[in-house]
Amino acid sequence: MKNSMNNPRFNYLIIFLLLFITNNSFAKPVEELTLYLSVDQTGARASGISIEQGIRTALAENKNQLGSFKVTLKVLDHRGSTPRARKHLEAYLKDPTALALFSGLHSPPLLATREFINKQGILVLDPWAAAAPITRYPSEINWIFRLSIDDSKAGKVIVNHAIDKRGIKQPALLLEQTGWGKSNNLTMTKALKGKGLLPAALKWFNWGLTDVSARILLRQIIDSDADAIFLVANAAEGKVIARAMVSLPKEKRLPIFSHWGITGGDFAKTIDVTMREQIQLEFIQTSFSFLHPLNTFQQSVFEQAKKQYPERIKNPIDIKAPTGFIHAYDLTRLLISATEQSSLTGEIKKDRQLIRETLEHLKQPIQGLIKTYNKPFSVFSKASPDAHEALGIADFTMGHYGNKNQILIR
Amino acid sequence: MSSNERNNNQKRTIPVSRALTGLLISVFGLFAMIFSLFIQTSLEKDFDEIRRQDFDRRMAAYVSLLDNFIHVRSSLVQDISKDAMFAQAVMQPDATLANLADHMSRLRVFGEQVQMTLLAFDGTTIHSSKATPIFNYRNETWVTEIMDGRMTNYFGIHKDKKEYFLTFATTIFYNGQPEGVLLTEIPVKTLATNYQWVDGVEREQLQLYHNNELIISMGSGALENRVQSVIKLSKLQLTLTGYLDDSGLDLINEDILQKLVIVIFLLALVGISATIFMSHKLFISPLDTLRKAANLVAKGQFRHRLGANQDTNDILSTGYHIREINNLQNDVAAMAETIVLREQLLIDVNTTLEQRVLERTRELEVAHDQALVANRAKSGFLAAMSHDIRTPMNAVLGILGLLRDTPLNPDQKNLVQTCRDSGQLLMTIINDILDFTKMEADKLELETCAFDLHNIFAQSVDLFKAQAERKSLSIILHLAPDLPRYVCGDPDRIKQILLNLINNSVKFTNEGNIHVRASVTPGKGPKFHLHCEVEDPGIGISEEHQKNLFEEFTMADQSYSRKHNGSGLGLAICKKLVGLMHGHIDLHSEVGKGTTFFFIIELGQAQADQVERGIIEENLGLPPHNTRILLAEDNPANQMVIRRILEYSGLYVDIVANGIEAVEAVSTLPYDLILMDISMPLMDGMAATKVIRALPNKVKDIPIIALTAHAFSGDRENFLASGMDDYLTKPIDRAAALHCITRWVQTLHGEIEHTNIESETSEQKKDVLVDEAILQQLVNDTNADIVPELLKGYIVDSLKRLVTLQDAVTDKDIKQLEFETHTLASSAAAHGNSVLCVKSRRVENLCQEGRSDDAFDEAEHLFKLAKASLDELEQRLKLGFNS
Repeated sequence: MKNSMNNPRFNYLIIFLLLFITNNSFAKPVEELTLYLSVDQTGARASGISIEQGIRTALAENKNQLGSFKVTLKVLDHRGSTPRARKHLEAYLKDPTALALFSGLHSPPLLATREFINKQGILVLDPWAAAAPITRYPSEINWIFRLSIDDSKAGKVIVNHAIDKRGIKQPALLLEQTGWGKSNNLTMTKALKGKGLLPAALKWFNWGLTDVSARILLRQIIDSDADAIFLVANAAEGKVIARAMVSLPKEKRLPIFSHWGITGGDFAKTIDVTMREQIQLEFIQTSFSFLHPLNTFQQSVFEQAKKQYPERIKNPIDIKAPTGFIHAYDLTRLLISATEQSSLTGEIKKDRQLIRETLEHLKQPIQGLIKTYNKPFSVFSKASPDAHEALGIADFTMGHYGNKNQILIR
Repeated sequence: MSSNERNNNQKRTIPVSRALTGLLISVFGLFAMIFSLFIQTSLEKDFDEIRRQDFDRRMAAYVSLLDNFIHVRSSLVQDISKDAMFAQAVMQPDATLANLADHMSRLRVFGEQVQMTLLAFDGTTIHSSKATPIFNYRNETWVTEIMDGRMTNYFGIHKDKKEYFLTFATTIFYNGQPEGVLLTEIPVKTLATNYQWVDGVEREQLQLYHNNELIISMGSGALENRVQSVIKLSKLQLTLTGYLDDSGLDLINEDILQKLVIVIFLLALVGISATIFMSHKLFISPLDTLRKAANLVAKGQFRHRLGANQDTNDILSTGYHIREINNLQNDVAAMAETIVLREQLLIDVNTTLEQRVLERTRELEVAHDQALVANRAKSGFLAAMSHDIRTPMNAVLGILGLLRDTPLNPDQKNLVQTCRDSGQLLMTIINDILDFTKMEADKLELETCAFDLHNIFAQSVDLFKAQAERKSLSIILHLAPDLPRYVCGDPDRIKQILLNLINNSVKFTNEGNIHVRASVTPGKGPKFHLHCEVEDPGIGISEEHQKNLFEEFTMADQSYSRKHNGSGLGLAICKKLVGLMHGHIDLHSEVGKGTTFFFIIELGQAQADQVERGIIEENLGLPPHNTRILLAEDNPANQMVIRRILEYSGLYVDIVANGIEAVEAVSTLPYDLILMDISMPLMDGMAATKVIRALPNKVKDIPIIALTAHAFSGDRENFLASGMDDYLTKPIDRAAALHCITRWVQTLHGEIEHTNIESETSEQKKDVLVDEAILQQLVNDTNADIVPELLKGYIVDSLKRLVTLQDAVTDKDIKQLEFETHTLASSAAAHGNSVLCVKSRRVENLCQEGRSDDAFDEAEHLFKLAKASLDELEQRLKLGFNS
């Protein structure tokens, strides 16, 4: 062995072999592309399903092609777990056909892996997760694009609505003990400060919150003389908190203004009409709904969705957690547009880079469900923190549940 | 059994004590020998066996201790895992790590920190409170099983270098899905330090195996003569093996055996002595006592000592009881007692006989009493009989009265008079008998009421005035100036005494004056004594006769009996009455010079206002004493009462029991007035009244007064409508009845008394439109609740009557006016409008006299008076009434 190691020819052979292997695995052009979907289809199942439906509907419109490549969607359920999500990212990196990865409702996996994503060059498209730092990786080369609410704006939307329209004066903040909750603490407190107010109380809770703990938290908030609760939670904990609120005496209950995290699961099914009638609950939404009159384009998208899911989708109300569908659909439209504007090579690393750059320089206005997107993304810098945000504050409103568990917006 | 036989038997017996002692010693000795041998052989084996079993049991306890140790640790890990912190940490390790580390470092179990490790879903360590985690669980199959949901909790043993650890793990769930593993590792050696595994003697060794690998060994090693015990915890793949040192066991066995044999012998000795002592106490001594007692019984000597039951107590006196001996004692005692009882029985028979004699005597006494009662019953019967004679006698007298008034020749007239006199004598006799029998039957009770004593004297004297005048006698009444006018007592009975004495005087005096004197002396407390004497200058009574004068059926001179009517009971009755009034009666008499009867009685004091009926009597006077009254009344009790009331007022009363008899009586005999009960059998009062009113002759106009238990205004209307003139309420009040009768009899008998009343009343009540006394009487006769009803009825009725009266005046209908004023007068009188009554009567009289112009003139004044009277009454009505 020692001899052969010293042999220069043998060394070349090794280098060649290494190159060959590398070329084989990364450089060799592929004929099909894969889009990864790493979402929660367990705890916040509705959000995961809805995002999947939005992507598939948009892809189907484009005959499941990206440029000249046939595209398939690989659905992975991380159940909201960061370690599982990290596994998906690792799988993406090992896959030579993986062009982009759609993330789900949860911010924490993205916040935890943001460094990894940007270092490894994983093209992440975020149709829901709202934590402010996600898209603000301090580098010109920023791999995460978002078409969703942005907590830096969501806080403001909730605060404006509650204070101006509902006359709230002393809101309490009730936040989950995660990066997402912390990010909202900053943005909401800042928005309140802008109105000359301070939160009456600030309470944190862990995932897996129990009924008893929730009631204790609510009582503490009520004792702080708060007149409303600004809630940052997902469906799992949102349900527990809503149930705890219903269990309190009527005169003690407080109105809840929530982030949309609660709409991602089966919140409306568990906290049904009769229970919802006992509490005042509003939450942030993007300003489009299939339940409102549709224009031709929007109608055609709905028809496509029906065609795609003949069993599941028959009426607009059948699209559960519509945020996921709408955002994912529009975001996929932007991706398709980017692939059209550039020409994919089939060399995956190159193509990922190519699409990332193209997204930052989309030329054509792109018709979406929420609006027509004109140059939705640009190159990130400290001066332009919203460079990777496709939506602005004008695209948001407050919504609530209707009698058929549908989401109605203002 | 003869005494010879008994002696023979005694020779063949041995005492119980000796027999028992021998028996017990041999039994115990044999038992002790066999027992010692048995113990010696079997104990050796058993002792070994027992120790083995004990060791096995202790091994089982160790195993359960171990099992418990594992179970508790496993539960603890599960409990700790429930904290939401772990769910959060496995889902979002990056964000939670700082909090998680803090949380895990704070975990304490039984006050000690526990080492915990949290694994992510792929088995990688998220955090461990151990400084350096010992194990890598990434490739453990059980972690995969947990993450696949095939297992929730895990227990296992792992080896690190030379040390063994117990691993307890549990699943962390989020949203019902396994997302991580929480585990703790405990060094196996803590088992040895934490628990007292081995016994104090340290003859044990325990070894724990896991999958046939020795993981820990406890207790002293290198044991000789080892006993082994193995228990497997197959679920946990653990095996516990224990060893026990056997040496030294034999020595212990022998030692124990020696001690045991000694103890048994000692026990046997104590047992034998105790048994002998007890048997003497329980069997021998009671049997001996019994034997002696039986001898006594047989000799008959038992009996004479039995007075205090001494022998029986002797037999039963043993403190402890053996059932059979106890039964024997009881039987002997029972036998002895039976004998005693028989003796007692003989004594009892004698006593019973004596008692029977006493009972007979008592029965005789009762019979005697019953005879007395029968005597009283006889008196009762006599009273009833007398009463039955009275009714036809009344009829006879009535008819004789009628006959006398028909044209008769002097002989006939004389016969009729004799007949009538005899009849009246008979009546007197019967009345006296009646009274006397009542007294005999103890039925005579004195009334106690306030009355006018002066009046009583006046009335009594007045009654005989006519009779006296016929014989040219005069009766002079002398009342002492200090004689109280109002007293308390029985006026009727006093009057009866007076009448009797005066009657006698009148009867037995042919010329001269009869003096009646009354005076008073003070008595006890508020009582006083009335002294009264009736003096006549008559024929006198011989001393011989004086003795028996107050006895029953005595007449001073039997020869007078035909000439002078009398029952011979009068004085006897007087004596009884005076006696009832706590007084006495006696006489002074000289034949040919005259007689003085005198009596003293006790009377109570009274005030004028207590004497209501006296005033009324005085105001209205009494009906003439020859008034004949027909009483139609079916109730015998009422008959008696009413008859008595009326007869003591000097009225004649005939009694019939129903309407038919009443009609018959009134058709055949002359009566002045009928008192008619409303409800009677065969024909009631109202029907009878209608029949009478329809009779062809003058009888139809006879005044009929209803007797009723009810006094409602409606009833009253019915009575009047049926033709009755007035009504009286039962129970009959004497004054009210006499008042009513007087009124109607006087109405019938013309002017003189009438004007008398009129002047009297108009004088007294000139300005009194409403007479309170009459209203009060109305209350007394009915009750306070009914009076307002009556008065209202009267007012309404009278107002209507005034209208018809007005019509009569306008139409100049004299008949109508007469009728209306008549009715108005009677109802006004009954309801206290006394003045109105008087004025109405005046108009009525004018009508009857045919002075129609005067009548119409007077009638004009009547209206004003009537209105005023009714108004006044209405005002009075508002004040209410007290009964």
